[in-house]
Amino acid sequence: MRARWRPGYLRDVLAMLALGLGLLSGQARAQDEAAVAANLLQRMSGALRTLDYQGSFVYQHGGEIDSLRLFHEGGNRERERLVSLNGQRSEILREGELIVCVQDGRPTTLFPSRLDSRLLPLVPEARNRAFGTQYSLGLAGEDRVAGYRARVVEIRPRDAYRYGYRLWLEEDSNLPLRSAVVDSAQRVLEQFVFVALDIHVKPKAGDLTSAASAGAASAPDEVALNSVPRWRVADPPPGFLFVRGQRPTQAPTSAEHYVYSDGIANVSVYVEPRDTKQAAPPDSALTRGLLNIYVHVEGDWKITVVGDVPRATVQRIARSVQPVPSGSH
Amino acid sequence: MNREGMNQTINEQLSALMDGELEGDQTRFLLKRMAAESELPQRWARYHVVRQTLRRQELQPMSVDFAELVMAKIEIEPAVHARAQSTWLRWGTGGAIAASVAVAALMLAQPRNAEPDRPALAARNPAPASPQLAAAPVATAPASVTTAPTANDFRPPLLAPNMPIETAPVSFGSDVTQPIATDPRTQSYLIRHYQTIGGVGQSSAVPYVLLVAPQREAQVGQVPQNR
Repeated sequence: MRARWRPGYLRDVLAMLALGLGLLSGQARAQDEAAVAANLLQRMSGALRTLDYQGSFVYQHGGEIDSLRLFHEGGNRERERLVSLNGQRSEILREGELIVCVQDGRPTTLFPSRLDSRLLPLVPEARNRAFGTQYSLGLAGEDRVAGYRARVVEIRPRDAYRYGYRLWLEEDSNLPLRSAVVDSAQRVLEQFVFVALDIHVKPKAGDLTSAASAGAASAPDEVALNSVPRWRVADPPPGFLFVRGQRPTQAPTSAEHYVYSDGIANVSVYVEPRDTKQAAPPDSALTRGLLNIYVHVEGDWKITVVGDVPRATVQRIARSVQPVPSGSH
Repeated sequence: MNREGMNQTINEQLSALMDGELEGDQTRFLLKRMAAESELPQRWARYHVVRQTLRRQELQPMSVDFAELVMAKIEIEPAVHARAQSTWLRWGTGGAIAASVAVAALMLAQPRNAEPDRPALAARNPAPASPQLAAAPVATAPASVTTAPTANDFRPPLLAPNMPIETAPVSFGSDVTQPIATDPRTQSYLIRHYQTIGGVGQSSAVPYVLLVAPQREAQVGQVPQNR
């Protein structure tokens, strides 16, 4: 008994206990943080749709900086207007599902939009499904943006196959005052910063002039795929799952378009017959800011992968597209 | 030629026209077609949108005549009309000051650009907002919005178009790949990608903002010299 009770034993035990408790509380704190962050993101999503606000922000993308003004009226039928403050006059009006783009003072085109479209860039929609395995959520302190106090929420990617987001959310309303998209090395790729923002202020009627409803909206170029996809991505980066399949209304009937998503980032995969009269070209790639495109030829088929994800992601997806065995059709 | 092939040809011609590389005869033919088919001007507009997105504003200037012809056609259709100048000025003036402050702040915040030429840029521009920079780079109180600068202030005075604002260059790595030409097909991929992901409800990251962000050409040589 005495032999076992050597000096320092108690100290070791206490140290171990303290270490264990420290680890546990650290873990608990991280979990708490993630829960708070998830809650804030959810509120942000609601605030962006339901609140009235107007303000000016600066948008930095690629090597460019632009200043823009945004008007938003919440409610059952959201109305939104985004206008450039520098360079050529151009603006976008959104009324419900209709988007009108006016460039240089002349109406250019109408787009049928989706209900959850929004004009503010770089805001992830993180409410859909669990993305926790691919991203971790955290809080990164407080800051002050556009005269408001903000909490900083981080969506950190767990690997280099996706980008992360840093969002400055206004303390009371949870509107995003600033957002930055970062790569795995924490370099900022694009960001916007509000410089002035009025929250809970309904824009004047003249600032949200309604778009002509009888405009010539362009028809969707694709319809949903109502058969089993002919191709699949055999080895996507972790977390990227098949979301939907579509096919073009015109163009070759064998062409198919699939969307893969990890809950935040989305990737399109286009598979179509290639011009077999020409030799198979080598793989090609394009990078523009957040956007990456990768083209890969597999036999008689051309595979094009497009998404606001790192180059490695589109490349891995493109190279692992395989035909689905015919038995499963 | 079948319908598909015809479509492909027209797509290619539209693209060539955007680049100013379409032959005179073909241009006339295409414009005639465009006047007759209501779908074509839309396609033209969509290509522009996507090209702008794809190139992030590095748009080629297009022929003035052509634009007028096409726009004349589009304007026949009911759509929104340009607002009066006064409306633009009313809300625009305030934002411009604030925006120029933030532009400066962003540039100051970029370590890569802490080059000797930046102080020179700032000094060249005694815009009303400049003195605030050192003290309060980003936090512009909404109150400052009430001051009314001249219409020239729509262009952020500190924005030098050719100044490299390096954020994160993405290299192609070591493996051999060919750059993708910005052909109509690539543009079509982009349109369909952004339209689809909007509909999946996964994310609304459709970059509409890039439609509004101005073309760079408009900036060159137009940095105002305020008195």
